[in-house]
Amino acid sequence: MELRYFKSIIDGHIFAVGKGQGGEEITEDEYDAILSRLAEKPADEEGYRWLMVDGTLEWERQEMPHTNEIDADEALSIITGVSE
Amino acid sequence: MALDMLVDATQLDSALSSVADAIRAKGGTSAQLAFPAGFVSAVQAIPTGVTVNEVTLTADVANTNELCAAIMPGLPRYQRAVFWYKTGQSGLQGRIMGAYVYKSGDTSYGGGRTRYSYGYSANDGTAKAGDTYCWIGDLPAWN
Repeated sequence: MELRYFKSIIDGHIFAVGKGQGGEEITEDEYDAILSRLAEKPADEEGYRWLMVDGTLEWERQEMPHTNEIDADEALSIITGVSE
Repeated sequence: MALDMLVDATQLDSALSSVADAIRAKGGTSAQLAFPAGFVSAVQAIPTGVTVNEVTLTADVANTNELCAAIMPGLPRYQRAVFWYKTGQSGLQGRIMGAYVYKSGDTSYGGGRTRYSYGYSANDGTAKAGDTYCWIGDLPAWN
């Protein structure tokens, strides 16, 4: 079976690449190019993150969004593994 | 005329039947198998293993919604799968995590949230660019 490559795009930025199911199918060359670009990610800065722009593969700095808040019920379900 | 070997037809038939039975059992079929082409095609049709999917984050993620969208994008409703960490999370390599993914806005499950379960959350800041996750096989059909 031929290996399928994909990328995951969120708001115009590449958040992940993978092999198998999911995302938007890409060529092996694009997959390799994205991973090569990942190796060139600028150094982390406190409170910021680097996002790879889809298409150009340029790095774009963005303030790290706040993490999501969870309520008590959701916290309990995460702890117990019971989610329904 | 020289004879290299004499073959007992009953014995040969019995032996081929037992081979065919083994192929059918492994291949999950009850179809008749003609020798030799049927045997060959049946063996070739036997699955060789499970599909291992792999995904590598190219960005630090801020929350579980982003994590789900990055790892299993495009899921229309609700899925679960067995995930494990391949690289990236110190001390967690090779460990299995459960995954529950809800489509944003679907109120049928958990109020339409997207999240992971079984002790993992992006909130602890461990989901970083370069982390790789794996999961086995095809994602199941809708629940």
